[in-house]
Amino acid sequence: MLDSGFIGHFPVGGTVLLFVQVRAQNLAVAAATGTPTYKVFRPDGFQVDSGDMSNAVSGLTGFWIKSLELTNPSDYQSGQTYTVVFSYSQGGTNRSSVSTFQVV
Amino acid sequence: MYLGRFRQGDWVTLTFPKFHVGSGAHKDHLEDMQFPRPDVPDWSTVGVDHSVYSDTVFGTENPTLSVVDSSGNVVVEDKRMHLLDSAIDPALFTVSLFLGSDIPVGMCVARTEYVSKWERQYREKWYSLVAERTHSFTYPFKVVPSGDPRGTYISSYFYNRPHASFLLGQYDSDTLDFRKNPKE
Repeated sequence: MLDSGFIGHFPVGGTVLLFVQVRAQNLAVAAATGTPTYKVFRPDGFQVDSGDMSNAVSGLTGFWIKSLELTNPSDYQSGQTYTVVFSYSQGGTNRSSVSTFQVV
Repeated sequence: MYLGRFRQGDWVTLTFPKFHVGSGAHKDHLEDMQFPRPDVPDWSTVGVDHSVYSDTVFGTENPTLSVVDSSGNVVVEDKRMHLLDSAIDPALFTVSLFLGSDIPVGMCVARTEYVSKWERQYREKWYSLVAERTHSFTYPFKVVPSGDPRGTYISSYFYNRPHASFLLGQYDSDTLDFRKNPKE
């Protein structure tokens, strides 16, 4: 996978640094139109979290981050691997990127 | 690509393939990144008399590395990478990053970047900037406590003076440590 893929192990109550690099069709770095969004899915497909990326990092074109706190133990359980789907619009086209992390 | 967990004071080494953006024939490969090539000019599409057009790369600089901490602060900015091997395909660039006190405990993301530019030649004459693109990879990693943000001793010297004895040490972060025996 070109981008983040697996991003690490995190405890319940911990904080995950979500990030996405906005890209054009040719995979070159690009700026997004609007704010990228994220959705977090449990292994059974249930969506446990969603929202907007919080800020674009200054000086790094198209690089967005979001600190996600794993505060709800009913949503985030030890041993489970969660999938994050990032979505953004670039050049009039909607694109996606996927990451995973594991709760320990 | 997840790099793993590291203690403060460790070194992290990153490699980054620099993709070929040479001839027109290979530009399509850049589009889908199926066949990355070393980032050097490809003269194969140029006629003997240089009478045909050929796109080639020019003036690219080495990739750089930046590191973002969990608060969004850029704690390492544009650290220059160097060529690891140009004979392999794709050409690899590398850099070693020391996890000192400027890189906080917690999750961080390293982001490599380089800009490729294409130029076109006709009858041995360069002209017209065709395109410029920024390429980037991301590498998350986690910094865990318990290490020494100064690094590890790579050499030491016992320094004995009449009033006290000292230990002079050199860290792999290229800093010196000077310790006095507290019992003297």
